[in-house]
Amino acid sequence: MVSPVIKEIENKYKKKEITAFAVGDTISVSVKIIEGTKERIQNFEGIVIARKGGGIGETFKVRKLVQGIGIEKTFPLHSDKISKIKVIKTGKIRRAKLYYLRGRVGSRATKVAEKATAKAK
Amino acid sequence: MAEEKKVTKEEAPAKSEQAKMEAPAKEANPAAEANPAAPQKEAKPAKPVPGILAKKLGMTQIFDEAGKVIPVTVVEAGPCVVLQKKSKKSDGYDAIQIGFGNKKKANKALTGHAKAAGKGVSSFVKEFAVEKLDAFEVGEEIRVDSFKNGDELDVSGTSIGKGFAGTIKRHHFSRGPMSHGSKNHRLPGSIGAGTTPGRVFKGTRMSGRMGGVTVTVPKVRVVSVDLEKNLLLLSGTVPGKKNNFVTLRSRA
Repeated sequence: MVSPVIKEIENKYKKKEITAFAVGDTISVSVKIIEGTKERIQNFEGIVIARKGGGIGETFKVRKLVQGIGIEKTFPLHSDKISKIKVIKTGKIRRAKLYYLRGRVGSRATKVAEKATAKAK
Repeated sequence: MAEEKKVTKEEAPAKSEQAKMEAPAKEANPAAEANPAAPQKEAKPAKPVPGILAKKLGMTQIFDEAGKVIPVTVVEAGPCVVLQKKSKKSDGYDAIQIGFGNKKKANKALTGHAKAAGKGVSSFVKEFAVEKLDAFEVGEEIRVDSFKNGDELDVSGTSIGKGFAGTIKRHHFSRGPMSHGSKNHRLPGSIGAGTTPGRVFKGTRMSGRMGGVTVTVPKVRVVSVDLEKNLLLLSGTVPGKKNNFVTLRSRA
């Protein structure tokens, strides 16, 4: 059990609003990158293959293919460096963690069935 | 869809908690101003103290300005009270004895000892060597305002007891093969030669009690100070479990 004192500290650092997304969704994560004094935003687009942890320590994993090679990035959900999360596609999945995508090659590696309701939206 | 709903549900209580948290913080401000001792201490820069006593509350993580994740230990530090001054003349060394916490059941001896300070009987008492004994008075309070972000402290406390532990856990020995007919899984192996020397050398690493001893972690950085709630956020780990008393010593 987390003590109320610690919860309060965590709440100070937590983001108030987070775009709702789930495992299986294709999302675009806007990450702030500081180069010297300049700050720019880089987008990382891929499938969410896992969401882990709770509270301020929650993280999510995004996987994409770059020139046929799988790239995975783990982001802290409450990090200030993440300026925006955009849901591009909603996936229909039957697993909480999509690690089985790692073993796949070609087009099947990036395919997650789209949700029927997503189209209706 | 079900998962999306869950997320919104989780967010809702978090928001209400935040609202609650902000409200008492605002109330606490005037309370601090009403207390005559608090503004005085803020006005003059808090004098250097040899250290403070604290209780470990647990661990979490925070983000720094650069967006980096820092693992922190939250400790409730002070307010401590100076119980006794020990001088070279009477005790052979200069030190202050400070106490922290409230002892619910105290015997007459402890009650009498704490009488001079007039702040109740402390449950955790430690001595700190000081160079200038005159800077402290009996009954004086030591608070977290004596510390600032970036300070480095030595943190001592009783480590988590592991009970009777084998050589692998206690001394990082290697384990034997788990298969291929091997029966040597977690055995300690040889503890010395044969007829010469004909005995086991003192200090040979073997199984035994592990943990539950005083451990000092040097150079622990203060990440954040909460004056209202007497909290210190320390970078990294400190010895012991939750509710463990720890001693924070300023580095000379």
